[in-house]
Amino acid sequence: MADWESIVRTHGAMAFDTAWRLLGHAADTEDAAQEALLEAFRLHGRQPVRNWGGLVRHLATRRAIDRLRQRRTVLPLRREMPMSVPASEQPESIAAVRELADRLRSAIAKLPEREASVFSLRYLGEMDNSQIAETLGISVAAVGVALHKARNRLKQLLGLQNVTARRSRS
Amino acid sequence: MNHNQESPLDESDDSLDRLIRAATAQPPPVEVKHRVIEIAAAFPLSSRASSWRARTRSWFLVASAAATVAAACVIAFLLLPSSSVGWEDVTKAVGSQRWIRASTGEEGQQRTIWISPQRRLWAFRAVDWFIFIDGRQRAKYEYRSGEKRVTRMAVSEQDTRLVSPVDYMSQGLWLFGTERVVSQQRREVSEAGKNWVEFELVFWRGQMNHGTLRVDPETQLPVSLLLRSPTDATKSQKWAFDYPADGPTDIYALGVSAGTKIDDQMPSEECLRALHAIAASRARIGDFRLVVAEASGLAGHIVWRKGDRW
Repeated sequence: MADWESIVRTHGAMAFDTAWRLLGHAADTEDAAQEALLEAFRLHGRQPVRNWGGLVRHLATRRAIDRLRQRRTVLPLRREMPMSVPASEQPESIAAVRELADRLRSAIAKLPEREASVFSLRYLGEMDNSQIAETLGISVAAVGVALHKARNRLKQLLGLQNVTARRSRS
Repeated sequence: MNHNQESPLDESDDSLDRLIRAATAQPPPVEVKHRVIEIAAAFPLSSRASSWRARTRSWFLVASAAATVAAACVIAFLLLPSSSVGWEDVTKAVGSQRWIRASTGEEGQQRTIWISPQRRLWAFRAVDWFIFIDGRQRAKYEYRSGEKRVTRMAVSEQDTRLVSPVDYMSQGLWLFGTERVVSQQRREVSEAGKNWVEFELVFWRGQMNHGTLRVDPETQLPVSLLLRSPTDATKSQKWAFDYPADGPTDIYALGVSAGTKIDDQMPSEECLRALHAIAASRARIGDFRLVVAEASGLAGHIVWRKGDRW
């Protein structure tokens, strides 16, 4: 059985980062990462795990998505948000980046469970499709389908297709 | 025409990818990450994992490194299983003491804490640092060796909790600082023919975040607390508890020279009332999430409160 401390030191940071990208809030991330590591700790005592890295990231993703879904909806301050990510570190630019990220997070919270997990692991947890497939116990093809559906649904939720459609009409 | 039909799909994908980049652009809070990892790594395999989660919401305050011992003591009281040790009895036993004194002489520095729950007094003495808090007067006195005067100031909300440990014990609320217990294990030990109840505690924050609290089952009172660093076995701090009949009633009784004058920085009564009203109204508000928008800014910022977190 793998040593618990080495598991945490090897994979804990990535689990935390994944939760952070999903939540963007220090206290919530701390709670989500803590819950994920606790769940992993319980599994550590009960059963052998082949891929601890994937597992702790998956658990962190699930706990973070749970928290995202518990959040109240915050209305955007502007109807039309800029879609580019400002490179500047000025406060206004940082605020804009946060707002953009929060829009994505709110939309992820509305995805079905599997799509939310697959999307988060792929883009926020930095896992490739085969790693996700192994972690979730599904086929690589199923991961691809879930990703495709997730992206389309997110674009709908975020109004991206409408924007581009308007642009194309004009 | 074809271009027009395909272009929207590309643009929307690009837009989505920009949002993903925005979500990954913010650097994670390193200090919080480090804390999560250190605590999880130090979590002993023998501990009951279920108790970790069960205690994650037990937040406590710690005024200083010295006050940690008192916090740990009272936190431990909260965790005593009522069926085996008698939580009610322990609360009553601690609350009925005229004085609780905790002392440590390790690391070459004698430090002592006195608490009088009945008189709402809290005092701390180190080699070069003296603090006296009078809860009834809502005044805090502090003196450091070398300074010419004792500073008298208003108690903070945190100080108020220091002088009311029993109140906060019974409510299971905030006590001394930002400590919270993430794990506790109870055991009974026998030493030199004497039986003790011991609690292994793991705190969420702080350098000395592992502790063993020993309680005398006969008196229901704690007798010692050993604080240890999870990463350095050579770092430990043992505090001993006793319950004297008398204790310090002002800062001079702690050893500050009688001739030292007081620099009175107490706000006026009017100001104190205003501060108290602000604190009380804040407590009544409950959880909230406030979006602050600036006319010239893009998004402003968010102020929130969730329980004891801001």
